[in-house]
Amino acid sequence: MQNFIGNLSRRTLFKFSAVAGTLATLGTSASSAFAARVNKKGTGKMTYWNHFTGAPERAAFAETTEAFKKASPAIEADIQTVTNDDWMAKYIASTTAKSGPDAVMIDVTRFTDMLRIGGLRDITTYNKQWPGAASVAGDTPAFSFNRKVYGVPFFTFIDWTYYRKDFFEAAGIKKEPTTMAEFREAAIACTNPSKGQYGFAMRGGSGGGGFIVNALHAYNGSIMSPSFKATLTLDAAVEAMRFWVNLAVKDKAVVPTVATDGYAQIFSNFYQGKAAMVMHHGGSFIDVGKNLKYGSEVMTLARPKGPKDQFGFQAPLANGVFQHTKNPDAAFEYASFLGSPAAQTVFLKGTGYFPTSTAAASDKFIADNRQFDTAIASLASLPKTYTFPGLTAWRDLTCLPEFQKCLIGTQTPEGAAKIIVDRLNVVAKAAATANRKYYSDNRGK
Amino acid sequence: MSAKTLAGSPLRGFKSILEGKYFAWILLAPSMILVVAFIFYPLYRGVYLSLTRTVLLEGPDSTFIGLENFRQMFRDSLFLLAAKNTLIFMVVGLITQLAVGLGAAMLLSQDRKYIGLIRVLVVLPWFTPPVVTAYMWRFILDQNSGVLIKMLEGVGISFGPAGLWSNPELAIYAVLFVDLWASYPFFMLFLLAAIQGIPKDMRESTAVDGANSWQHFRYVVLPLISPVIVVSSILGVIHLINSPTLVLLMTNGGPGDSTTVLPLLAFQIAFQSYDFGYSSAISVAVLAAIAGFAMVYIRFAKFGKED
Amino acid sequence: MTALKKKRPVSYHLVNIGIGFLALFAILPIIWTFYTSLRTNVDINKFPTKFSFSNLSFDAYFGVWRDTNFPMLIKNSLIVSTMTVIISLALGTFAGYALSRSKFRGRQGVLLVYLAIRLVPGVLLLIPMYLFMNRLGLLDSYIGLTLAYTTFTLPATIWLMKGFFDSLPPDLENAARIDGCSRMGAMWRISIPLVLPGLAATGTLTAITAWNDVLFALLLTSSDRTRTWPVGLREMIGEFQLPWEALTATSILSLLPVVIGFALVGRKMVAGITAGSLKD
Repeated sequence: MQNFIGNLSRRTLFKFSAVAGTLATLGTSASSAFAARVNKKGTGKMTYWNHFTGAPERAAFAETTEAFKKASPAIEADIQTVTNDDWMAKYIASTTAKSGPDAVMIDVTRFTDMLRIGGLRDITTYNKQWPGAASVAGDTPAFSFNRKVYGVPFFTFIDWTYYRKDFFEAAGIKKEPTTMAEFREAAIACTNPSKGQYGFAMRGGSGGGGFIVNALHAYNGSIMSPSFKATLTLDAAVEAMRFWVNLAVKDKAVVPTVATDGYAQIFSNFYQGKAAMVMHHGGSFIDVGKNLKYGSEVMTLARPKGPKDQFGFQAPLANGVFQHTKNPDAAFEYASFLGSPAAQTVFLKGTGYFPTSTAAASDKFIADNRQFDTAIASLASLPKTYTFPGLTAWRDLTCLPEFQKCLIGTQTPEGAAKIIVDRLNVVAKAAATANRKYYSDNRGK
Repeated sequence: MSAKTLAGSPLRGFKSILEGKYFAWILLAPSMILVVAFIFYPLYRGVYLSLTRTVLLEGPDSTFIGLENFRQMFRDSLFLLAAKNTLIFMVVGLITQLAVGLGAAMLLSQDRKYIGLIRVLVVLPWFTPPVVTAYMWRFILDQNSGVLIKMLEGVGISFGPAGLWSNPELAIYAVLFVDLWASYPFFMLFLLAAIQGIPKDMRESTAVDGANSWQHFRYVVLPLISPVIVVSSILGVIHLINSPTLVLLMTNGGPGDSTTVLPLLAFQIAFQSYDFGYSSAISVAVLAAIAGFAMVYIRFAKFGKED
Repeated sequence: MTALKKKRPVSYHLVNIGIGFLALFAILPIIWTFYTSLRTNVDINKFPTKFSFSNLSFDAYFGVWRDTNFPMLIKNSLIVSTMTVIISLALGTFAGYALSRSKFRGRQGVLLVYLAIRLVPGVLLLIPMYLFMNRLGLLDSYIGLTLAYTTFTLPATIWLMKGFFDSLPPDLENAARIDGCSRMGAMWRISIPLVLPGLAATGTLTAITAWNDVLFALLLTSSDRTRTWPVGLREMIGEFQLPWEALTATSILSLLPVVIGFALVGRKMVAGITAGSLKD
């Protein structure tokens, strides 16, 4: 099935999705005839928290806010930004105080954490009565738990790789790397330390933990079962850590400052020509285009395949309703507005973020842009990202520091793998226990 | 209204309160109320949480577990490492800042043209917003485009291709260097004032007695300014331990755990692992440690005030 | 004597070199940041690294002023800092005066209680402070942030003001009291005018503390209507982009009020802090 979709041409896929979209629209317009099946119109003030900080994102928000004003004139929307670093602190504070925003952005990796801490409202009923739900339904399960829906999908970050076409040509690489072994070979081939040029701008600083999860998944397959049982084997973890660490330590094919390189540094290295490849997701599409020319200098490339699965995830982002809001009607109206094809298209054009709505995904912007072929191909093959309670802490406070220790020589890949597996088992056990408690607490509610 | 009209008015009772022994307390009341409301309730709650298991992923409830969180600290290798780093940060930070501050105070106590202006310039880093300090220095010490790194390379000092910030031994000292830039003027200010408080003719009289500059400093200046050294050291230690802004913004504890300090660890455990019980316990432990220093401060302050 | 005279120029010049070094150490990083803000991103990101420029301009400043909501954030910071100065000085002057003039029992204890504020780690304060502000309905408001800052600046204000009052000769007030002035009247009409320079110095110190804070501004405000510039700077770093020139320009812009404040009362403040802090 995966191969089947993967082999479908872009156009065919769009025909399918267009048909699906039309059917969905037909279905919803029919159902909206029944007044009881449509959400109550919201009024009054509505505050929304997002963690977007970039200028293009802000501009896109400004544009959608204007559109929202026209669509829902009775609601006064206040868009507020809370940076990712401070997000959980503010979210926890507002949840504890039972007072905060009305609508919130939900990053899928944080979804279960946010749910457990208790600030997300069950929007199943709202969603059922929302005519547009069908066109974005594909990603809703990612934001559902225990058959309750908590988020309206907004767009999906599709992991991909950027590479310097000119560097690849100079190094004599004819075929784009598709496996992790080929990726490594390409990185080594593009490395020339005497010229200060390396194959890959690896992220080993802030935000680098996600790549460790990528590697573990690529070598192990699923690392956590839906019932919160850790399924990561030590052998696979060792293999994964060896591959990722050795790319830097043994092959020396990555920019040497790796242990402290966060987003800003890896892209600065890539733009400066210090690295031939950099891994990220569609979120940087517009910025890369500002610095390098697509087609001649830079190309997008699907993430390589590991022994068990592809190295990378698709990670949807949604908007939900804050548990303690006094204005859930308006909050849902805003969240669902952002889920609509029109709003998603605005974000797509402003930022390159891949829409979850099939109608928005069939926009000319994607159809006419060859670089997005990578995303479309990946959409079918890339695994869905994880979300389990404790994921972010394990990723950022265990996986990343252990990886950094390997880079600076105070830890071995084997030692790191052991700690990572052990810690994941602890996290899984805690999640399972908390899960049973959660079920018993919420029974009958 | 003037005091004279008050004297003969029915407000006499009120006035007598103002004049009496409660006068001080009335003036103190507003600030005391504010402090109690904003500091003591959080403090009480923090101490309470430190005695409970409160992990938000398990639900919002707290279970009383006595001193278990404190016991856990001694089994937690990351805590012990962070404690060690905190100690390094404190000791090295204090010694360097005090030494440079003292040297600067000696230099700036001299009479020169524009010395007033220069004193103000030198103090500017202390008032530079920590956020700006952190980003500014990260840029100056950046391995790729940092001007200071390139200058050091020019004179043969290189941190290797991985750079200063990837070096687990040096990263903490890099932060300490930046903290030195930002914080030594604080010591300088205090010590400069103390030095200026020493009568000028004292140097002349010791010179007549045949003392050289070092002897004058060692036997005359140092004893006179030592109470100020003690006071400023304690305040400096509080700042070094309680303000992890620079560590947070410059290394965030990395590479590995090599620059993790206790306040940063407490922050991560609370807002990333959502374990508020353990996090509070760490904070309370830090608080107890600094309070210990404060006790020393009181002792020395009293000792120095016998004038 | 002649030997001393000969030696003097050497040490004299050494001292001068030392002083020059201190001044350069303090301002060179700031000057470099300013220089960077005038260069273009292309120049900054050039590889291999060059420190020269092809073009210098204030474009980054205009960009920040025009395209971000920084002007508003600066305005918010100014308002909150000013309010903090007013409240902190008012409360701090009263308390400092009381602690200076009345030798009551427990005075030392009170002084230490104020000092204890500085001891409490911020992590411990964040959530309770949020809950408290929420209960008072002061979240995301100027006054809420002001009250939080006042709490943190009060210790320094009180200690400094106590020092300034201590340094006044008590005879002045005594004379006024003999003339029939109340204690309040004596404080208001005699002592406060005399400590005005100290008040200005303490006020500047307070303003800068409030101006520089990022932790509580992050927690207690969330909308652009009330949030302060350090939060804005953190946001500007952006997740998926790299605006070095904008970042440095913003840094310089945010440093500007500090520098101006310094230029106006810097010398008085430096003198004031040292004088005030020593007399306790």
